[in-house]
Amino acid sequence: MTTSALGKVHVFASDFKERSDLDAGCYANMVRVGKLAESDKTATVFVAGSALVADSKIEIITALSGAGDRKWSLEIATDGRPHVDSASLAPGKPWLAVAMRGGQVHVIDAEQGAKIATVNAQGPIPEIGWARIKGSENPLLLVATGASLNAFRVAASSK
Amino acid sequence: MMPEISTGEEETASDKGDKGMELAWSVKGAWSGVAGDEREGVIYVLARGGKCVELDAAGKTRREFNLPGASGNVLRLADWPGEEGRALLTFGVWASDLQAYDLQGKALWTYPRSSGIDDVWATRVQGGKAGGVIVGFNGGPVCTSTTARGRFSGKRQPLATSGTSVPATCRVRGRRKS
Repeated sequence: MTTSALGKVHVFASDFKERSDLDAGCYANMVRVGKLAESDKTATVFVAGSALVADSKIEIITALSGAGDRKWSLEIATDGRPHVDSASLAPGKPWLAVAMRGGQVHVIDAEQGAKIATVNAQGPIPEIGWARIKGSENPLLLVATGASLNAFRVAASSK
Repeated sequence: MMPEISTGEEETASDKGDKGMELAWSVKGAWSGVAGDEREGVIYVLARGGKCVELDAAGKTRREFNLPGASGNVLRLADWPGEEGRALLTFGVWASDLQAYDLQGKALWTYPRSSGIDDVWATRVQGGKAGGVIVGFNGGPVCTSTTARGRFSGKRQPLATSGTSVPATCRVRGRRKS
Protein backbone atom coordinates (compact mmCIF):
# COMPACT_ATOMS: atom_id res chain seq x y z
CA MET A 1 0.00 0.00 0.00
CA THR A 2 1.39 3.36 -0.92
CA THR A 3 0.60 6.92 -1.95
CA SER A 4 1.96 8.74 -4.97
CA ALA A 5 1.89 12.08 -6.74
CA LEU A 6 -1.58 11.12 -7.94
CA GLY A 7 -2.79 11.88 -4.41
CA LYS A 8 -4.46 8.46 -4.15
CA VAL A 9 -3.81 5.41 -2.05
CA HIS A 10 -2.64 2.46 -4.13
CA VAL A 11 -3.32 -1.04 -2.84
CA PHE A 12 -1.12 -3.72 -4.37
CA ALA A 13 -1.49 -7.46 -4.27
CA SER A 14 1.55 -9.10 -2.71
CA ASP A 15 2.84 -10.11 -6.15
CA PHE A 16 2.59 -6.44 -7.25
CA LYS A 17 0.60 -7.50 -10.32
CA GLU A 18 -2.81 -6.20 -9.24
CA ARG A 19 -3.42 -2.65 -8.07
CA SER A 20 -6.49 -0.75 -6.98
CA ASP A 21 -6.67 2.93 -6.11
CA LEU A 22 -8.56 4.43 -3.18
CA ASP A 23 -9.77 8.03 -3.00
CA ALA A 24 -9.30 9.45 0.49
CA GLY A 25 -10.83 12.85 -0.27
CA CYS A 26 -7.50 14.61 0.11
CA TYR A 27 -4.12 14.78 -1.60
CA ALA A 28 -2.84 11.69 0.17
CA ASN A 29 0.82 11.57 1.11
CA MET A 30 0.86 9.28 4.13
CA VAL A 31 -0.76 5.91 4.69
CA ARG A 32 -0.67 3.50 7.58
CA VAL A 33 -2.71 0.36 8.15
CA GLY A 34 -3.57 -1.65 11.21
CA LYS A 35 -6.21 -3.46 13.21
CA LEU A 36 -7.83 -1.45 15.99
CA ALA A 37 -8.79 -4.56 17.95
CA GLU A 38 -7.59 -8.15 18.00
CA SER A 39 -11.06 -9.22 16.90
CA ASP A 40 -10.98 -7.13 13.70
CA LYS A 41 -10.93 -9.39 10.65
CA THR A 42 -9.32 -6.81 8.44
CA ALA A 43 -7.25 -3.72 9.02
CA THR A 44 -8.29 -0.10 8.74
CA VAL A 45 -6.45 2.21 6.36
CA PHE A 46 -5.43 5.61 7.75
CA VAL A 47 -4.55 8.34 5.29
CA ALA A 48 -3.19 11.85 5.77
CA GLY A 49 -3.04 14.53 3.13
CA SER A 50 -3.73 18.15 2.38
CA ALA A 51 -7.20 19.40 1.48
CA LEU A 52 -7.95 19.51 -2.24
CA VAL A 53 -8.01 23.30 -2.31
CA ALA A 54 -5.19 25.57 -3.47
CA ASP A 55 -3.05 26.99 -0.64
CA SER A 56 -5.08 25.13 1.95
CA LYS A 57 -3.80 25.12 5.51
CA ILE A 58 -5.97 22.14 6.37
CA GLU A 59 -4.58 18.64 6.81
CA ILE A 60 -7.12 15.85 6.49
CA ILE A 61 -6.84 12.54 8.30
CA THR A 62 -9.19 9.83 7.05
CA ALA A 63 -9.96 6.24 7.95
CA LEU A 64 -10.99 3.89 5.15
CA SER A 65 -11.93 0.27 4.81
CA GLY A 66 -9.80 -1.79 2.45
CA ALA A 67 -12.52 -1.35 -0.15
CA GLY A 68 -12.23 2.43 0.16
CA ASP A 69 -15.36 3.15 2.23
CA ARG A 70 -14.80 6.18 4.43
CA LYS A 71 -15.24 5.53 8.17
CA TRP A 72 -14.41 9.03 9.36
CA SER A 73 -12.53 12.16 8.37
CA LEU A 74 -10.88 14.77 10.58
CA GLU A 75 -9.66 18.22 9.59
CA ILE A 76 -6.62 19.69 11.35
CA ALA A 77 -5.88 23.39 10.88
CA THR A 78 -2.21 24.33 10.61
CA ASP A 79 -0.30 27.61 10.71
CA GLY A 80 1.76 26.80 7.65
CA ARG A 81 1.82 24.28 4.82
CA PRO A 82 0.14 21.16 6.17
CA HIS A 83 2.21 18.02 6.09
CA VAL A 84 2.35 14.86 8.18
CA ASP A 85 5.94 13.67 8.48
CA SER A 86 5.36 10.69 10.72
CA ALA A 87 2.36 8.58 11.74
CA SER A 88 2.06 5.59 14.02
CA LEU A 89 -0.70 3.39 15.47
CA ALA A 90 -0.43 2.64 19.17
CA PRO A 91 -0.03 -0.93 20.37
CA GLY A 92 -3.02 -2.11 22.36
CA LYS A 93 -5.06 1.10 22.06
CA PRO A 94 -7.10 2.53 19.18
CA TRP A 95 -4.88 5.61 18.96
CA LEU A 96 -3.26 7.08 15.88
CA ALA A 97 -0.45 9.60 16.42
CA VAL A 98 0.45 12.03 13.66
CA ALA A 99 3.44 14.39 13.70
CA MET A 100 3.08 17.54 11.66
CA ARG A 101 5.82 19.52 9.94
CA GLY A 102 6.67 22.35 12.34
CA GLY A 103 6.31 20.39 15.56
CA GLN A 104 2.67 19.68 16.39
CA VAL A 105 1.84 16.12 17.38
CA HIS A 106 -1.75 14.89 17.69
CA VAL A 107 -3.24 11.70 19.08
CA ILE A 108 -6.50 10.72 17.41
CA ASP A 109 -9.15 8.25 18.54
CA ALA A 110 -8.78 5.93 15.57
CA GLU A 111 -12.29 4.46 15.98
CA GLN A 112 -14.18 7.76 16.10
CA GLY A 113 -11.88 10.20 14.31
CA ALA A 114 -11.72 12.64 17.25
CA LYS A 115 -8.60 14.43 18.38
CA ILE A 116 -7.90 13.44 21.99
CA ALA A 117 -4.50 14.99 22.68
CA THR A 118 -2.09 17.54 21.23
CA VAL A 119 1.43 18.66 22.03
CA ASN A 120 3.27 21.53 20.36
CA ALA A 121 6.89 22.54 19.77
CA GLN A 122 8.29 19.07 19.09
CA GLY A 123 10.96 20.16 16.61
CA PRO A 124 10.80 21.00 12.90
CA ILE A 125 10.31 17.39 11.70
CA PRO A 126 9.27 15.20 14.62
CA GLU A 127 9.50 11.42 14.34
CA ILE A 128 7.15 9.41 16.51
CA GLY A 129 6.69 5.94 17.93
CA TRP A 130 5.08 4.14 20.85
CA ALA A 131 6.38 2.14 23.79
CA ARG A 132 4.48 -0.34 25.91
CA ILE A 133 4.86 0.07 29.66
CA LYS A 134 4.75 -2.96 31.94
CA GLY A 135 1.67 -2.88 34.14
CA SER A 136 -0.09 -0.18 32.13
CA GLU A 137 -2.55 -0.61 29.31
CA ASN A 138 -1.68 2.83 27.96
CA PRO A 139 1.48 3.02 25.86
CA LEU A 140 3.83 6.02 25.95
CA LEU A 141 3.98 8.30 22.94
CA LEU A 142 7.62 8.83 21.90
CA VAL A 143 8.72 11.91 19.97
CA ALA A 144 12.24 12.36 18.59
CA THR A 145 12.54 16.11 18.11
CA GLY A 146 16.14 16.40 16.90
CA ALA A 147 17.09 17.91 20.27
CA SER A 148 15.57 15.36 22.65
CA LEU A 149 13.49 12.23 22.93
CA ASN A 150 10.24 13.07 24.71
CA ALA A 151 7.91 10.45 26.19
CA PHE A 152 4.30 11.46 26.83
CA ARG A 153 1.46 9.85 28.73
CA VAL A 154 -1.82 10.26 26.94
CA ALA A 155 -4.40 11.32 29.54
CA ALA A 156 -5.95 8.36 31.33
CA SER A 157 -9.44 9.73 30.63
CA SER A 158 -8.81 9.27 26.93
CA LYS A 159 -10.31 6.12 25.47
CA MET B 1 28.56 9.70 28.02
CA MET B 2 25.07 8.67 29.12
CA PRO B 3 22.12 10.74 27.89
CA GLU B 4 20.67 13.08 30.50
CA ILE B 5 17.11 12.26 31.60
CA SER B 6 14.73 14.81 33.01
CA THR B 7 11.23 14.19 34.29
CA GLY B 8 8.26 16.15 33.09
CA GLU B 9 7.70 17.94 36.37
CA GLU B 10 9.34 21.19 35.32
CA GLU B 11 7.45 21.37 32.04
CA THR B 12 4.44 23.64 31.78
CA ALA B 13 2.65 22.30 28.76
CA SER B 14 -0.75 23.86 29.21
CA ASP B 15 0.37 27.40 28.38
CA LYS B 16 1.46 26.25 24.91
CA GLY B 17 -1.99 24.99 23.96
CA ASP B 18 -1.10 21.40 24.71
CA LYS B 19 -3.87 19.15 25.96
CA GLY B 20 -4.50 15.55 26.83
CA MET B 21 -0.83 14.64 27.25
CA GLU B 22 1.76 15.00 29.96
CA LEU B 23 5.50 14.67 29.65
CA ALA B 24 6.64 11.49 31.41
CA TRP B 25 10.34 11.95 30.75
CA SER B 26 12.76 13.47 28.29
CA VAL B 27 16.26 12.49 27.19
CA LYS B 28 18.41 15.25 25.73
CA GLY B 29 20.33 14.51 22.56
CA ALA B 30 20.14 15.01 18.81
CA TRP B 31 17.71 12.12 18.41
CA SER B 32 16.12 12.03 14.99
CA GLY B 33 14.65 8.53 14.87
CA VAL B 34 12.82 6.35 17.36
CA ALA B 35 11.37 2.83 17.39
CA GLY B 36 9.53 1.10 20.22
CA ASP B 37 10.10 -2.60 20.70
CA GLU B 38 6.70 -3.96 21.73
CA ARG B 39 8.01 -7.45 22.37
CA GLU B 40 10.86 -6.56 24.72
CA GLY B 41 9.43 -3.31 26.08
CA VAL B 42 12.48 -1.27 25.11
CA ILE B 43 13.06 1.77 22.94
CA TYR B 44 15.73 2.40 20.30
CA VAL B 45 16.73 5.95 19.43
CA LEU B 46 19.03 7.09 16.66
CA ALA B 47 21.15 10.22 16.23
CA ARG B 48 22.88 11.27 13.02
CA GLY B 49 26.19 9.50 12.56
CA GLY B 50 24.77 6.18 13.67
CA LYS B 51 24.73 6.63 17.44
CA CYS B 52 22.05 4.35 18.80
CA VAL B 53 20.82 3.92 22.38
CA GLU B 54 18.54 1.29 23.86
CA LEU B 55 16.35 2.71 26.63
CA ASP B 56 13.87 1.13 28.98
CA ALA B 57 10.30 2.45 29.25
CA ALA B 58 11.40 4.84 32.01
CA GLY B 59 13.93 6.48 29.71
CA LYS B 60 16.94 4.86 31.37
CA THR B 61 19.83 3.87 29.13
CA ARG B 62 20.34 0.12 28.88
CA ARG B 63 23.19 0.29 26.37
CA GLU B 64 24.77 2.42 23.68
CA PHE B 65 26.10 1.16 20.39
CA ASN B 66 26.93 2.41 16.92
CA LEU B 67 25.47 1.58 13.55
CA PRO B 68 28.68 1.87 11.51
CA GLY B 69 28.28 3.87 8.33
CA ALA B 70 24.64 4.70 9.02
CA SER B 71 23.70 7.84 7.14
CA GLY B 72 19.98 7.96 7.82
CA ASN B 73 18.01 9.83 10.43
CA VAL B 74 14.88 7.66 10.47
CA LEU B 75 14.74 4.35 12.35
CA ARG B 76 12.51 1.31 11.90
CA LEU B 77 12.55 -1.93 13.89
CA ALA B 78 11.92 -5.03 11.79
CA ASP B 79 10.53 -8.12 13.47
CA TRP B 80 10.91 -10.90 10.95
CA PRO B 81 9.97 -14.53 11.46
CA GLY B 82 12.41 -17.38 11.94
CA GLU B 83 16.13 -16.99 11.81
CA GLU B 84 15.91 -13.66 10.03
CA GLY B 85 14.98 -12.27 13.42
CA ARG B 86 14.95 -8.62 14.23
CA ALA B 87 16.87 -5.76 12.70
CA LEU B 88 17.20 -1.99 12.76
CA LEU B 89 16.61 -0.23 9.44
CA THR B 90 17.85 3.30 8.84
CA PHE B 91 17.29 5.71 5.99
CA GLY B 92 16.86 9.41 5.32
CA VAL B 93 13.90 11.01 3.59
CA TRP B 94 14.88 11.84 -0.01
CA ALA B 95 18.22 10.14 0.61
CA SER B 96 19.71 7.12 -1.14
CA ASP B 97 20.69 4.48 1.36
CA LEU B 98 18.57 1.98 3.23
CA GLN B 99 20.77 0.11 5.67
CA ALA B 100 19.99 -2.85 7.92
CA TYR B 101 21.78 -3.77 11.15
CA ASP B 102 21.31 -6.44 13.76
CA LEU B 103 20.45 -5.37 17.29
CA GLN B 104 24.13 -5.38 18.25
CA GLY B 105 24.92 -2.86 15.51
CA LYS B 106 26.47 -5.27 13.02
CA ALA B 107 25.84 -4.17 9.43
CA LEU B 108 23.70 -6.73 7.58
CA TRP B 109 23.09 -5.22 4.17
CA THR B 110 22.55 -2.02 2.22
CA TYR B 111 19.80 -1.86 -0.34
CA PRO B 112 21.01 -1.03 -3.88
CA ARG B 113 21.41 2.76 -4.01
CA SER B 114 18.46 4.55 -5.49
CA SER B 115 17.76 8.19 -4.88
CA GLY B 116 14.74 9.68 -3.17
CA ILE B 117 13.54 7.29 -0.47
CA ASP B 118 10.27 8.52 1.04
CA ASP B 119 9.55 5.78 3.52
CA VAL B 120 10.42 2.23 4.45
CA TRP B 121 8.28 -0.39 6.13
CA ALA B 122 9.36 -3.79 7.42
CA THR B 123 6.80 -6.48 6.77
CA ARG B 124 6.13 -10.18 6.49
CA VAL B 125 5.47 -11.88 3.19
CA GLN B 126 4.55 -15.38 1.94
CA GLY B 127 1.72 -15.67 4.42
CA GLY B 128 3.82 -14.36 7.29
CA LYS B 129 6.53 -16.99 6.85
CA ALA B 130 9.24 -14.68 5.50
CA GLY B 131 10.46 -11.18 6.17
CA GLY B 132 10.44 -8.35 3.69
CA VAL B 133 10.87 -4.63 3.32
CA ILE B 134 8.73 -2.26 1.27
CA VAL B 135 10.60 0.79 0.04
CA GLY B 136 8.85 3.84 -1.36
CA PHE B 137 10.72 6.22 -3.63
CA ASN B 138 9.97 9.79 -4.59
CA GLY B 139 10.15 9.83 -8.34
CA GLY B 140 10.18 7.02 -10.85
CA PRO B 141 9.34 3.57 -9.54
CA VAL B 142 7.54 4.31 -6.31
CA CYS B 143 7.30 1.02 -4.57
CA THR B 144 9.60 -1.95 -4.43
CA SER B 145 10.32 -4.77 -2.08
CA THR B 146 13.29 -6.65 -0.86
CA THR B 147 13.80 -9.73 1.25
CA ALA B 148 14.74 -9.54 4.90
CA ARG B 149 18.30 -10.40 3.85
CA GLY B 150 18.51 -7.50 1.44
CA ARG B 151 18.10 -9.38 -1.79
CA PHE B 152 16.28 -7.19 -4.28
CA SER B 153 13.11 -9.00 -5.24
CA GLY B 154 12.81 -7.27 -8.59
CA LYS B 155 9.23 -6.27 -7.98
CA ARG B 156 9.36 -2.56 -8.62
CA GLN B 157 6.00 -1.11 -9.39
CA PRO B 158 6.07 2.05 -11.47
CA LEU B 159 3.06 4.34 -11.27
CA ALA B 160 2.00 6.81 -13.92
CA THR B 161 3.76 9.74 -12.32
CA SER B 162 6.59 10.35 -9.95
CA GLY B 163 5.72 11.29 -6.44
CA THR B 164 5.51 10.62 -2.79
CA SER B 165 5.42 7.06 -1.70
CA VAL B 166 4.73 6.04 1.85
CA PRO B 167 4.37 2.30 2.07
CA ALA B 168 2.56 0.26 4.61
CA THR B 169 1.35 -3.29 4.66
CA CYS B 170 -1.45 -5.27 6.16
CA ARG B 171 -4.36 -7.51 5.35
CA VAL B 172 -7.15 -5.19 4.27
CA ARG B 173 -9.57 -7.34 2.29
CA GLY B 174 -9.27 -10.82 3.63
CA ARG B 175 -6.15 -11.48 1.59
CA ARG B 176 -2.68 -10.10 2.05
CA LYS B 177 -1.95 -6.81 0.32
CA SER B 178 1.39 -5.04 0.16
